[in-house]
Amino acid sequence: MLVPSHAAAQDNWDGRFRISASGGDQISRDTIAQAFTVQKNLEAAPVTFDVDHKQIYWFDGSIVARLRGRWGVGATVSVATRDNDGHVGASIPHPFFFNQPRPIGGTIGARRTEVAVHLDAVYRLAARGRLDLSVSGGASIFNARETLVTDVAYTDAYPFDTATFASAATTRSTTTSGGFNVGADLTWKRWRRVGLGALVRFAHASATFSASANNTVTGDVGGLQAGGGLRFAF
Amino acid sequence: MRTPKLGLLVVCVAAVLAAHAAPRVRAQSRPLAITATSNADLRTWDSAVDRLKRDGALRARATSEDLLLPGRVHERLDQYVGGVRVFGGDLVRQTENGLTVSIFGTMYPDVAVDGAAAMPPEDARAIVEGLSGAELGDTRRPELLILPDEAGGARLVYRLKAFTLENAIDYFIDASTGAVVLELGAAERQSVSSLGVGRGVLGDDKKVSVASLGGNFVAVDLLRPPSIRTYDMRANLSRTIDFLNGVVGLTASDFALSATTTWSDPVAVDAQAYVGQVYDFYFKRFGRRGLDNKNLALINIIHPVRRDDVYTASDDIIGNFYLNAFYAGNGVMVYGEGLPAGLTLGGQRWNYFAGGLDIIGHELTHGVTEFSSGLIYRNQSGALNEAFSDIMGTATEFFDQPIGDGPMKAEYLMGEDVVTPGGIRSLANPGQFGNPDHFSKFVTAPADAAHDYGAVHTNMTIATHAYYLAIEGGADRTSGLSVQGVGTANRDQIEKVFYRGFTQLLPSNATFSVARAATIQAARDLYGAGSAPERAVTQAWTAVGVQ
Ligand SMILES: [Zn+2]
Repeated sequence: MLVPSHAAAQDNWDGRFRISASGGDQISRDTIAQAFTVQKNLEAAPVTFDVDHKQIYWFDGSIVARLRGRWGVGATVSVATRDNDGHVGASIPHPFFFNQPRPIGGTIGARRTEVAVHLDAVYRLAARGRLDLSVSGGASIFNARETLVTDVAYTDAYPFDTATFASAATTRSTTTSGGFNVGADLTWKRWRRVGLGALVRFAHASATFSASANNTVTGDVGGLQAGGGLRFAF
Repeated sequence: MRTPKLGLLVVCVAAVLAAHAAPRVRAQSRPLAITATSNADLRTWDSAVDRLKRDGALRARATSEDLLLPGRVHERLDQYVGGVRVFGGDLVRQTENGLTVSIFGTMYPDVAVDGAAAMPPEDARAIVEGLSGAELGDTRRPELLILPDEAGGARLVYRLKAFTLENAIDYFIDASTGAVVLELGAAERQSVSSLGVGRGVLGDDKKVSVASLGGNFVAVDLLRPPSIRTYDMRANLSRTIDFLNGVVGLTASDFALSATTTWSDPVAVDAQAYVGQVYDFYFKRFGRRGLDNKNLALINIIHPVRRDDVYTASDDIIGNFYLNAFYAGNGVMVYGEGLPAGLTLGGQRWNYFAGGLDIIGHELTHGVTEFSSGLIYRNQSGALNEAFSDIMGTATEFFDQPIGDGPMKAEYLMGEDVVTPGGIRSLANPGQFGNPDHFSKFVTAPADAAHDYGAVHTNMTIATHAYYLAIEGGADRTSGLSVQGVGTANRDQIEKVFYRGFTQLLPSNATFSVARAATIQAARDLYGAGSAPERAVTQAWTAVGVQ
């Protein structure tokens, strides 16, 4: 069938399962502000790494099973990833003198990857003709990876009163944390089994990334996701 | 000293000097002080210098670019007669883009000697070995010189230094008779008193630049441009003397060392750290790269004796290796061991000499002088040599330490962190230690070892007090004359004026009067005629009675 009839579409959309594939943009207040020390020239050298992950691309796949009446349950697997530039700053102790740090700073690339599983209760709030509005909410489990700085490299020369940032050594830290999500999905049932949907979801968890025992940083994962995609009913 | 009827005199000088094609002469060799800064004097002397160079009566010893005033060049020229250098006969010509700005110097227009040296240099070495009791290595070669004397005569001599347990003497041996005609102090010492950290000597934690070697750490600075090394002589005084005389070389086994990065010998810590800081001061303030401006290696000699052996040591050994520090030439510094805790001298406690930043600044500055003006270590030039060391030692303190009284604070006392309480000299109030603050109190003494080579450690304070007054202002206690100093915030101006004057403009045989002229010229060069530094320096020399 090239073009589904409206009546047929209605039948399938009232079926037992609905599968979605979506993508979009995630906005959050997530910034990583790493602060730790390394030993340089017989003193502690404070190092900071600040990276802004306020905007991340995401895509996900979900399945919703209708249980009774307007209620159903859903499971979503969401993947978000983005490369952002972060600023590394450090105070490098002077090789000859105590308490005469030399500031350095530079930019390096950092990658945030978030894989989330959302287990939700789904409630069909309204259905008007071809439009169908559902809301959902439930628990989220995030597995997040973040680029963390472990050391800095610099250049200097006699008389060593200044130093210049050269590079930063990094590691990829992975952490798993639990949170929650709430969302709404508006689906335009365009064809018998296939529709187009718009999604808004807020998912959140707090995650602690660790490069070493005394080099950890806590940040937000998730955020406000907005996007759209395909909806399949069967 | 000025040069009246200059044109005629210069022509005569040039004619006489150029006439000496071979060593032949005798005659009168009265010194002629040259302080040419006016256009007329410069025109006359400039052409005379060029002519003397062409004739071989003046030979270039060193030419250096000016590190503070781009475009300026300083040319040092030694006087030669018949191919032999005249000791104390030299001048310094400052040029800017080829035009001469100043000429300061001392020449001996009538100097002359008869014939060649009758004695081979090996004989002179043997004589010095016999006189000193020191064994001298092959690297210690006597230098043939023409030595003018104060009576107006001159003779051919060999010059050779020898270090012994008791002393360090620069011998001048008559090249015909083998007689000793002059002895100068070869060790330019911190003080003349016969009775002298890592954590530093004063208990302060500091970093020292070292190197790892064979599982240990040795006191070798690999971060600064020159090699800075500290050798621990482990109280082996005879080996110390042999090293100073070039008989033995020091090896890696002589390095001050530590099995861990935490150094337990405060003397090694301070010697290594402070010499680095003095190098830093000269580099950051003046752009100078070490003693010879070519990053000559800096060698610290510590623990030449053991403190507890002081009770059985001779007075000479106590004076040289306990209660003193000295610059031994070619970048080598020796630091006295001080006295055991509880033992005082003159009511003062004498700690390890390596614990005084100003002391190390003082000793290293003797090296700067060695490779620049070469101020001869006797009489006025000797006092100026010592004065410049106290001036730069104090300047190093003000560069690195907070201003104030007490340990590791910057003030105008010398050696106050090591010889406590009070130190050994004052630039602010020389009279506090019985030193003169005015030229009218200049002490005239024979230029021999028994009289501190013309009371150089006494008369030096006339010049150091002028330096103090040019910065801080105030009145000289003797003359009552007031000086408007540039103020402590501008101390770098006066430091640069004295550095320039003493390292680039002064000849080796300079008098206080020449030092006045040279530093005033330096102030004009750096800050302009009529500038505050020029006024301050001029007033300061006047206040201390030096015209
Ligand atoms: Zn001295």
